[in-house]
Amino acid sequence: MGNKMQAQDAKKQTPSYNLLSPRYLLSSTWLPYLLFSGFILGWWVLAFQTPLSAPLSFRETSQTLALKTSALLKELSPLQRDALQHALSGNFPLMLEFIDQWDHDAQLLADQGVPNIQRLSAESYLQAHILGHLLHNNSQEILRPLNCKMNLEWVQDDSGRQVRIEDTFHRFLPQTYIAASFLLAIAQPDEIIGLPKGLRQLSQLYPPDVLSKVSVDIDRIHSEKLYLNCPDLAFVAPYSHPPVLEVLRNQNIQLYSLKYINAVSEIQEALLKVGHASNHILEAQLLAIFMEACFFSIDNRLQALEEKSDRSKTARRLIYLSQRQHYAQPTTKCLTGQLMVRALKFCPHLSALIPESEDDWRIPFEHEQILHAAPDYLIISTPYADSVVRVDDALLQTKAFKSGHIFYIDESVQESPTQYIALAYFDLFQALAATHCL
Amino acid sequence: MKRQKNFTYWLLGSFLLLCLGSIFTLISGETPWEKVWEGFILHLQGKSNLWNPLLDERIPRLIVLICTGASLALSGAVMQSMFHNPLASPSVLGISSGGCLSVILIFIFDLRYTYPYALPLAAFAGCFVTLCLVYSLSRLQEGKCLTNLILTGIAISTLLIAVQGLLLYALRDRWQLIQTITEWEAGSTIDRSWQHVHMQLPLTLVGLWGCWLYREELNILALGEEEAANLGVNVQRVRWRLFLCISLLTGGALAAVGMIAFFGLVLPHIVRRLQGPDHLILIPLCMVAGAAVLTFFDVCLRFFEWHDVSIGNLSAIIGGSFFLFLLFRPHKNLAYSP
Repeated sequence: MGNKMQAQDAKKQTPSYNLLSPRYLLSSTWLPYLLFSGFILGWWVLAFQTPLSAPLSFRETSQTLALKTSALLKELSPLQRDALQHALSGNFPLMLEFIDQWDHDAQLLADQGVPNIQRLSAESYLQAHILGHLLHNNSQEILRPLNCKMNLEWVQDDSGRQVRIEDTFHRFLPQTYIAASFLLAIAQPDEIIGLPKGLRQLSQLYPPDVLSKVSVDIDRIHSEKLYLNCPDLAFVAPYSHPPVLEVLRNQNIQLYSLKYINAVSEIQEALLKVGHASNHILEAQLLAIFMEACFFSIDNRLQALEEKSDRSKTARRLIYLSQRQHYAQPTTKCLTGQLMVRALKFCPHLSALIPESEDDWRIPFEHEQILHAAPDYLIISTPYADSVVRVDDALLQTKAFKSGHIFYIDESVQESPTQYIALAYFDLFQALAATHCL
Repeated sequence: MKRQKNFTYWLLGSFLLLCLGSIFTLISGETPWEKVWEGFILHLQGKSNLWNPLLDERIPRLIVLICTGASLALSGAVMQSMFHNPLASPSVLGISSGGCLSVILIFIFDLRYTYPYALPLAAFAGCFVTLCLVYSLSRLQEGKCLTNLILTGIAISTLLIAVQGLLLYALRDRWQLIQTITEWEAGSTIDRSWQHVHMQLPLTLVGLWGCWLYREELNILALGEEEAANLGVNVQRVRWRLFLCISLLTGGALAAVGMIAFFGLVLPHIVRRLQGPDHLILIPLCMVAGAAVLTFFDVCLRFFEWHDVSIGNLSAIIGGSFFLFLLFRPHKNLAYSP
């Protein structure tokens, strides 16, 4: 009964179509589809007929990194990115050459009266030379017993576990990027069982010919594959998948846990630990000294540039942003933030704020904030894999963009907690040094 | 009469909240208001074409927020009416998951810059195909249609999430892509521009208008499909077109903001309980209230500077809690008949 009443009420509401009413449109079979799809497509055609944002090729934008900043300090040895990268990838003679040049540069700058010049301690310098000559003049067969002699029998990994390092260890499974990156530089390719798959994507950092010598991807390694390859030691992390750790333990493979890297100094520490555990302490020590020398050299160059610059100029604003879905500013919690803080100590002509935070790695930075900050210089880290870089309308309005003071750098280098952090510092140096000449 | 009076109060209240939220969105920001206004006036007079915070960021963000809030609330309301089910919403029936999967494919193939309309188009297509699939499969089963619908929705949603998980697992080493997708999935209103407005607004306008035009049919459909057919409603056509409208609304919101889970469930449910099932009242109130609440959420996030929380997270937390409340509440009498 109730339903009948409702039906009668509803019958009164039954739509009656009028030719002038939009309801007439709805009564048609095809007209609404044509009309509405036409409306939407027409809107999009009009709205998107011009490019959304100016695309620039990465090669074009990264020209800033190829700036001849060495011309600013003609008296010093040239510092080229490619050569630096080559040295960091494990070229020990080149490392030694650089160490020599940088020490000479430091001496020169000190003689010129540039204050706060840093150089390797006499002990480290000497050690680098001894190690360099040892590594250059001897084969692996001779170096292996030397490395073993230098090693401790028992070491404590980052999880606090005692790990026994055998002289016979020569097959390693690096589960993390950090360990893999170090091993690629200090060990022989045949000593590495597999690599994290993502490492192969970073062809701008790791030469494909080196990577191709290690054919196995770690995520393809299962228990049987492990059994066949018999690694002596696996470098794992606190975030390693527990079942994988269980498989490794079941096959009596020693585990060496490396902690999260939160600071630049921890990278060198981790490098030495990997060197100890992999019986390549000589190589690791030289690489660690080289990294330290590289940081000193860049600091010295920044200091020298500051000494030469016109100090009467007012401080100019610089912002570092990472670009993904939206812009974000790195904080002091991340490595890039720490590198920026270090570099900016030598750049009083620049006013740049790196937010301090113990929780956030990055803080979103909106278009409006960029415009309000009115930066004179912008450093933007963007994924290298992106073939083009998008420049938003807001960015086009900035003084930095208009005057061409915008520096694009490779994000994967900036966020790499490996020996390539020295390359990240070099990239920042290139941008900061350019502020003196642009 | 009393309901009509209440409707006016609720509509005015929602409108007031929307106005307050809009004013805050428009006037708050890093740039001093005088500078913003000066640039805005110069722009209007054609004397400047410089990027202006009000014109190029705050207004687009507000439009996107209003469109998204109205779209999700209305699509939820229409779905709950069509399916006679208080738990029907774009996220519960897996429609959002379908749209999400399509958008992820656009991200993977990196088409969003080359073809900017690919994003809303894919979101719409994903939503529409999923909706049709869920509806068709639920009709194939015997037994309670409503339970079937929800269960089919959950099954399809699980399947789509699994495919999405598979894609993300396969591409886990492309961590920049993973990060981009994670940010998008969280739903964000940071740096919304006219591009996002253009992606969403045409879809939203068509979707909202379509739902509004079918308000009377929605009332009649509440009597049951057979009764509605007897009363002269072309049930198949109306249902098909409402499906399209829901997909347009949900797809537009997905393309412009990302995933805003449970918003389409909670708000229409509250409005329906307050004002009853008449779509003449329900539709405008859902639109205004949806826009107002989402704008309010965004204002809260900006005011308290919660950098770690996105608008999608906030909506999902509140919506999820409400979903639980719906399941375990003591009295389950609902206003699902006219």
